[in-house]
Amino acid sequence: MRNEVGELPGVPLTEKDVLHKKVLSTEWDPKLKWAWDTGIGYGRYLNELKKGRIVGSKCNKCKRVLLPARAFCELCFRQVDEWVHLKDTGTVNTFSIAYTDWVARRIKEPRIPAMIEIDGSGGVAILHLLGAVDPKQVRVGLRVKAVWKPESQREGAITDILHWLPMGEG
Amino acid sequence: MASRCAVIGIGQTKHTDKRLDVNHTGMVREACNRALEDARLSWKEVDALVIGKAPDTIEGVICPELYMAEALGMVGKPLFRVHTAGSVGGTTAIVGAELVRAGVHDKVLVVGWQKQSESDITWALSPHLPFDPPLMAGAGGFFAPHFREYIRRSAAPDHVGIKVAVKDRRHALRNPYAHLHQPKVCFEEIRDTPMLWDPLRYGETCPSSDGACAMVLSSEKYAYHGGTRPAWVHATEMRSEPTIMPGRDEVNPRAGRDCAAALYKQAGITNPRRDFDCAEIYVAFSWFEPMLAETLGFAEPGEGWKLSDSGATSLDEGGDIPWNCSGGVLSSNPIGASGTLRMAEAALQVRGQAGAHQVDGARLALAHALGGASQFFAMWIVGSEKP
Repeated sequence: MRNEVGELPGVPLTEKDVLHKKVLSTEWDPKLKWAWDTGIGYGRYLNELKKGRIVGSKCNKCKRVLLPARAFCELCFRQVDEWVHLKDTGTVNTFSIAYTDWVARRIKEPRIPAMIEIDGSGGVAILHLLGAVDPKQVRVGLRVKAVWKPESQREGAITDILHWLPMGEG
Repeated sequence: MASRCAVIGIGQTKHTDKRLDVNHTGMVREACNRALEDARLSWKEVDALVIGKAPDTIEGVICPELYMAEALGMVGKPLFRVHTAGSVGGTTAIVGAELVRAGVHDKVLVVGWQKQSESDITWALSPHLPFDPPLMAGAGGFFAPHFREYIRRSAAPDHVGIKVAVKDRRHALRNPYAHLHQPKVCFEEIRDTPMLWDPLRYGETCPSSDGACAMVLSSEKYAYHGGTRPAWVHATEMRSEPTIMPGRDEVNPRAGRDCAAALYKQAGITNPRRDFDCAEIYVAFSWFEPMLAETLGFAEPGEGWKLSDSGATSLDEGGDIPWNCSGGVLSSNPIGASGTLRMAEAALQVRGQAGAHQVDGARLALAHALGGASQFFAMWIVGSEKP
């Protein structure tokens, strides 16, 4: 490969040329709609969230609980055997202290996304948000409980859980 | 008939934040032209094309391989597209190599690219699917908890991440194609950048780049067509695992360990740190270097940070196993091309063509690409000698 960065023939465009429409360009804001088929496992999982419950599915061959619930076991490659209701409590596995919001805008008061290992799941941690916790107080092993949105505001999504709060001592 | 596979042509663009002078196709052609020139082949002589790019939502363009076929000389010829998220550039090279090794084609062009300036990856990674809370704020926010867990497990000191970022940015100064050229980059500069997702600072994250990278892969018959020493493909391997599953270890994913083990077995590697002369590893965020050093067997579990901290992976410190001499993903990140760049940079090293970032006498190099939530892995080993 040539070591120097080669010059191409012609006059290079500058950012201004594009911004000032000196070159043919078009802007288009498409209105795209799409639907996503939840399938059997995720469908049940999302429906149960609407009812304020966390549901997984169990494969009786490898004895694992799959969360979110899935229709088949990816290790045994067979249909799962039963639904399993899990508690809405868990343990903080790990976390970060985020100084951006979800569209990467800077924020002053940090938010604390955490991997929360759901009780009874046999080791599945889901990424969610800790609420009203001092960043200095967060630690791995912190026991937390889900705070659900009011039933009328739930829509069958993981965001039906507003956030998680520490249990016990407050 | 089965054949050995050689990398006989390599081309890349100057990676930058905005390539306004070319569209997707123009940028891809630029890299392909350079690779073909290196291999002394014309477009007409190419048997097949394999392309890899970021997922369509991340790129903001749906199935560009369809409308690009004409501009890439592929009318009436086989054109494949590969989909494995961030590892796609690596998997693309592997698919090309397999086509040659299987004896299907003699001369395969592989190319990966991305124009991050025309798309919005943060939007694409926060798609409001009902099972994901919109918390990720891009890939860095997603991986930060994994880095924290790595640091907790290994008791790694905070400065290791900063050190890795400084090291790769210094390497980039040796590479004219790298996106970030920060001539005065130093420990304090990176340390003082804003904390985005504690423990990850802004300076420890990869840039958003426009860029492309292409390679010509050939059978033994054409290995010396370009008149330069080819890089021989010694082994290729890929693995993947689900985003979420019981017992999954995000810090040291099984798919990564299995992939490396299978790859090393093919090439007879028993001690990666000793056996390789250098490595191009997908380190998009600083802490991936010590984590991947453990996954890939360059260090014992819990010891990866000591490898980075010792300077062993640094060209400037005369390390025995330099990682990402090109500056790596931390210095240039056109996602769809980032994997291809790892494969190509490893090949440049064993061809002795890496210029100012050449590792003296490099004979055997490892390249690694990673994608999704640390769940897709593509790796190859290239050498100056025939396998």
